[in-house]
Amino acid sequence: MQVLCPQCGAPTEALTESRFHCCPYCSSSFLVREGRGIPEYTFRHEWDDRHAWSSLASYLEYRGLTEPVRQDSAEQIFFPFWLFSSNGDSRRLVPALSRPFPEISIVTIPAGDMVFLEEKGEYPEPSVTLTEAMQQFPADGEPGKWSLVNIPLYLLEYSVRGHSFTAVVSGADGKVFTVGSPTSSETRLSVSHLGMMVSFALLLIVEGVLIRNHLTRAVAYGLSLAVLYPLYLSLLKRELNR
Amino acid sequence: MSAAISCPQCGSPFNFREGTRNAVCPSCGTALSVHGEAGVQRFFIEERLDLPRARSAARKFLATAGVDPHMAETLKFERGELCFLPFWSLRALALGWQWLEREKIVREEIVDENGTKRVVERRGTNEQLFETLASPLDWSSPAFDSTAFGLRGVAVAGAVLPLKVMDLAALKRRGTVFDPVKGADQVRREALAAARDRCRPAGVIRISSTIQVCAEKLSLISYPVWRLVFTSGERLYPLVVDAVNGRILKGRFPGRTTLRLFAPMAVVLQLVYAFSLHRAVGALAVAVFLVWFYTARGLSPAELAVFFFRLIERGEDIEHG
Repeated sequence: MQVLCPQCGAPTEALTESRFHCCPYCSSSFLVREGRGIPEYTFRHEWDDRHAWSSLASYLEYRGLTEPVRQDSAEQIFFPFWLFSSNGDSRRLVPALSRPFPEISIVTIPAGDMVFLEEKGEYPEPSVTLTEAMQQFPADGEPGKWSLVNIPLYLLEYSVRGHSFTAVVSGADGKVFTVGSPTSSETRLSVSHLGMMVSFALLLIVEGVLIRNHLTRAVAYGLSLAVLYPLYLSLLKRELNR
Repeated sequence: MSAAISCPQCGSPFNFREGTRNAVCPSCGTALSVHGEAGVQRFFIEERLDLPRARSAARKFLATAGVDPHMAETLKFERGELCFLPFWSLRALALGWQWLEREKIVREEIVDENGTKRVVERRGTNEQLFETLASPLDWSSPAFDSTAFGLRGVAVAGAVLPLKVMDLAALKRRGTVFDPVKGADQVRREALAAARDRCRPAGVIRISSTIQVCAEKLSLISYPVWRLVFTSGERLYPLVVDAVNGRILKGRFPGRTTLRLFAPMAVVLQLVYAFSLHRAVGALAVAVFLVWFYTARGLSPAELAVFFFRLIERGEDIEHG
């Protein structure tokens, strides 16, 4: 079967309808569906889970969340999307895989360098066919073309205060997509800080009951402050560095 | 199917396959981004900051912008990447006509019987205007998703800085060249909407207009920025620095944290000591404290709890872009 390269038009021999065809002339990558070549792109990205978690933490902090985020799981995936573009305008992005992450439907094309597929990457097979994608978004006679874009995504699961949430972070530009995210709670007080102040007050009260002489008591209070202040300060600094 | 266009630089016709996104004119070697019916010339602005200078601009920002100094010390530079971000630049004439009806406010000076003057504003009859429009249009908008980069347009930069004709292959060796994902039609619509907004005076009740973009010169300008990544422990902090003037375009860092321990401890000590002297003295001390607290922070149980029991105060995060 002869297929024309969607980028340069050179005829290429394709034995099966499959993916990862590479044009010998312009080195573009494409997949073959119904005898047609459809260009296939991806975004260059070096996987790093810290990148995803940091973007998420920054996003949640911006929305006023102060509680710790428990990182449950992170999946790195080149997620396939069918992309319809018309005159260089990216119009529609249809997820080509189904995953239990509602955020995937709101993912947008990231800012980055769109490149042809590299051989070493792992690109999952789309489970939604192009025909299904076309039916979902009929083009209404609008001129344009479809392509398959593999967007590097991190599918994250995390929990805050025992509730679990999901988020999708775009690898190329670190954009965060969430459908439901934890809201900031009321100002919370730390138990350790409460303990510090209460123990200090209790110590002073006990001293006040035991020592009747005003002057001696004042000296005892001064001593208590002189001992406890540096102690508490070092505890707080340790908490800050943790 | 192959399509023929003429090169916007040298005018010679050449063919390319439909669907091609980047083409090179065989006659003059100009790199073109091909969209729809015509070729669009691609330019780039050269970076003026190398990586060490971008890093020092970032360090200067970290030292002066109120970022937690303790945290700033622990920040390690991890990597830097030069990115060329695509912006559409449209220079054209907006020509057309508009008919509008607008409110007219009439100011009248009234002198009453005591001889004092008063100015009264009164709605007059509505004014109807028909005018022809011709105004230069200089519009620029990002051709990519700019949320992560904090740069909105390069109209001013494009007018001041020298533009260089882009050699895509050579530029790709220097940095990451971002792809435009917004088409020329969208840019025209945006520019037209902006032109329409600008021509509309205040207080318009009804308007009918036809404005068209003529004599347009459309180009795609790639603007250089450094994307730097700093790490602190497991956390990454990206920072986007303008590679032309060293401005910080986007970044987010935790603010200064302060330990506030002495004030609550001193207050507790004074109050307990006052009570141990005499109940009346204690009550007086409490009253004095509450009055001071009311004037300083406003009296509420939450504020009191924060004063006594929140000993680490986190400053607002430092945000740019």
